[in-house]
Amino acid sequence: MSTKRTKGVTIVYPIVYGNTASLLPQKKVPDSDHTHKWTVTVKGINGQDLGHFIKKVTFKLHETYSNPQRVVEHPPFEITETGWGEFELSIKLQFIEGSEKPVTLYHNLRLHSYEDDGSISTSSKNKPVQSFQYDELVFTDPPETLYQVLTTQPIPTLPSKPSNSPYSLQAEQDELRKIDEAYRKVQEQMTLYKNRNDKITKELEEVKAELDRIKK
Amino acid sequence: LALIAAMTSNDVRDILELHSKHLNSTDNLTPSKKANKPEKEKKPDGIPRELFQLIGGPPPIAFVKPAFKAKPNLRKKAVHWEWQSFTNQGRGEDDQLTLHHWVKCTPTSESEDSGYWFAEYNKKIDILKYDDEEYEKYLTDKDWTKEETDYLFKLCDNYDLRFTVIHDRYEYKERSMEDLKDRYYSVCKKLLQVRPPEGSDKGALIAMNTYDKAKEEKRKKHMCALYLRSPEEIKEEEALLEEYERIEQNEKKFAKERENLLKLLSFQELAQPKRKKSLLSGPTTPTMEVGNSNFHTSTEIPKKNRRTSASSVGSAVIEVAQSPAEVHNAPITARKEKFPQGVVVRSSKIPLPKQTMILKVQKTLQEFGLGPRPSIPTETVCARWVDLQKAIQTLLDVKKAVEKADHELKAKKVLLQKIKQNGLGSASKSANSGDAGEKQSDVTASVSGDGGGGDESSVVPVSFLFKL
Repeated sequence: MSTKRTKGVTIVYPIVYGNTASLLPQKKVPDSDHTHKWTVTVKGINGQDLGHFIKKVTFKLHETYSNPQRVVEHPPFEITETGWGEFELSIKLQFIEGSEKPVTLYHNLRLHSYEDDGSISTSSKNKPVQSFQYDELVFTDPPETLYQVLTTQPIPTLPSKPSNSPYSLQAEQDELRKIDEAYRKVQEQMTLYKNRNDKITKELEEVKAELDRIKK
Repeated sequence: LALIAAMTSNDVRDILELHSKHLNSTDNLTPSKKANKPEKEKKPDGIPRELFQLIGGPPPIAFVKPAFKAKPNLRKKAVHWEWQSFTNQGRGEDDQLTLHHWVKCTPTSESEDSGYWFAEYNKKIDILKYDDEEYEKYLTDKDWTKEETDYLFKLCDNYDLRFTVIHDRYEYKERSMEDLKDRYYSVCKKLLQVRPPEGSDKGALIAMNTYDKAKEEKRKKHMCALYLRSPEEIKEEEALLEEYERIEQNEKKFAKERENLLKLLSFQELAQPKRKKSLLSGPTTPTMEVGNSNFHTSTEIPKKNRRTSASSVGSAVIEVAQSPAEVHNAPITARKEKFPQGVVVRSSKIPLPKQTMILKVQKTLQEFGLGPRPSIPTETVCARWVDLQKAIQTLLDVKKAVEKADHELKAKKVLLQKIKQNGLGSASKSANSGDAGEKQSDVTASVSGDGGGGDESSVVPVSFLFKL
């Protein structure tokens, strides 16, 4: 029997997922396998844990790790490990309502800090490295259980200014601005090309007409 | 193979220069051996041994016994031939020309009864004949008298409708062959139409007798012109035909591309003017419905506050219905987002561009300082992101199409110049040869410069024509 769905309702829950990494102090024998310590987490944007609607989270790590499938069944949904390499891992969220399909997030584990152009920075090895991604879970027509849970507990909202997390309304505005600027520029280019195309089409017609005339 | 000689003991002795084993034998090898040893064919020097053993040398020559002609059979008596006279029934009744020929006297043949055996090949065409009454009723023509028509028909009958001959022998008036044909066929057609139908298909007969004089004249003129072309003209025509074919082939391709281009551009145009409208009213704009993205329903959110930032940027195709804060504070609304039932991760719903375009789009986004995905994928951000991506794709397509059109235009221009120069080349040449002297050459240089487009086009090799 299926749980009844709340039709016409959409609930958006913003989350943040990613990892922090710190360089382990090198002991006497440098162990190349464990140069960094890292933690992958899935949380709400203000650090809330998601246990009220997520049943369990399956972190799938690189196959070189033992038990690459790490299942976490209660908050905080995170995995801490040590390693030397960066890889892509998947984070599968399963909800308290079994009928809802689990969603998978993908994250590139970041251990080294990078310069802007993508090269690994050699300075400031002491600061921990962070790599997080904001995303939103969109629940469309959620089933009863989820609906109950999501409406009773407050849903975090983006703070207006960035505080300890970089995600804020202002950041959103910044991004929107950038996008709009880019869009405008694209439109400009488009008009340019359109004009050019008109000119070319006209010329083409003329040349074609002349060629026809000569042919006759 | 039989040709491989066996190494016998005597051979060994020979090689080792020992004496023969049998002490009472002579120095000669015994003949008995020879019988066993097959004849060794000497192999020609040119080919390796194995090959020769496979091929077997040249084939044996086939000897055909010379066959002489059979002895003539002189036993029988000579056949008797007779010198006979005959008349040809194929000739008209007018003359009774008697000729003679040798005829074989065989017991079975009948002399002179069967008639001249070639007479049967004198086939006559039965042309239609009219009587005076019919002529008066149907066949009168202002250009043709009855006399002349009768004369024409007599000739047709005589010469079996061989109009070339008829036209040659025609001695009445100055008429072209088309005239004669025209008159003859129109008379026949008319007769067929008015006469009662016979067993055979009347329609077909009438159709066979239609003669289009104007068309025939034109056709013959064309044939003459075609036949009398000079070789240069022929070459020129072939070249032009080839060009034409190539252009036709590419035409369709270019036309289609141009259509796509125009469509893309017109979509963009649609988006822009509608912008103002959408900010004031509620309904979705056309561009909203075109895409498959799930974010377009954001326009249906009831408008509350208009973000000044959005309007100041000025390129928002999607109306910003609520302030993002409000959106986030009231996530539980009866929104009609086009997501399927269940949970989705918002950023995963951004449609990716086409496989070929992904890298280019990413590069373009980079130029604007944006990564491959939005860093804060909220509803509005995602919607705008999708639009931006689409716009970038469209722009790239337009760019490519414009480049192609430009290229085509350039190529056609060069072709035009080349043709012009070829056409005017003879004119300038004759002018050059006529007058020596600097002044003239300057003039001709300027003539060719005006007409042929200067030195640049002359440098272009002729082969470029065929690269289009």
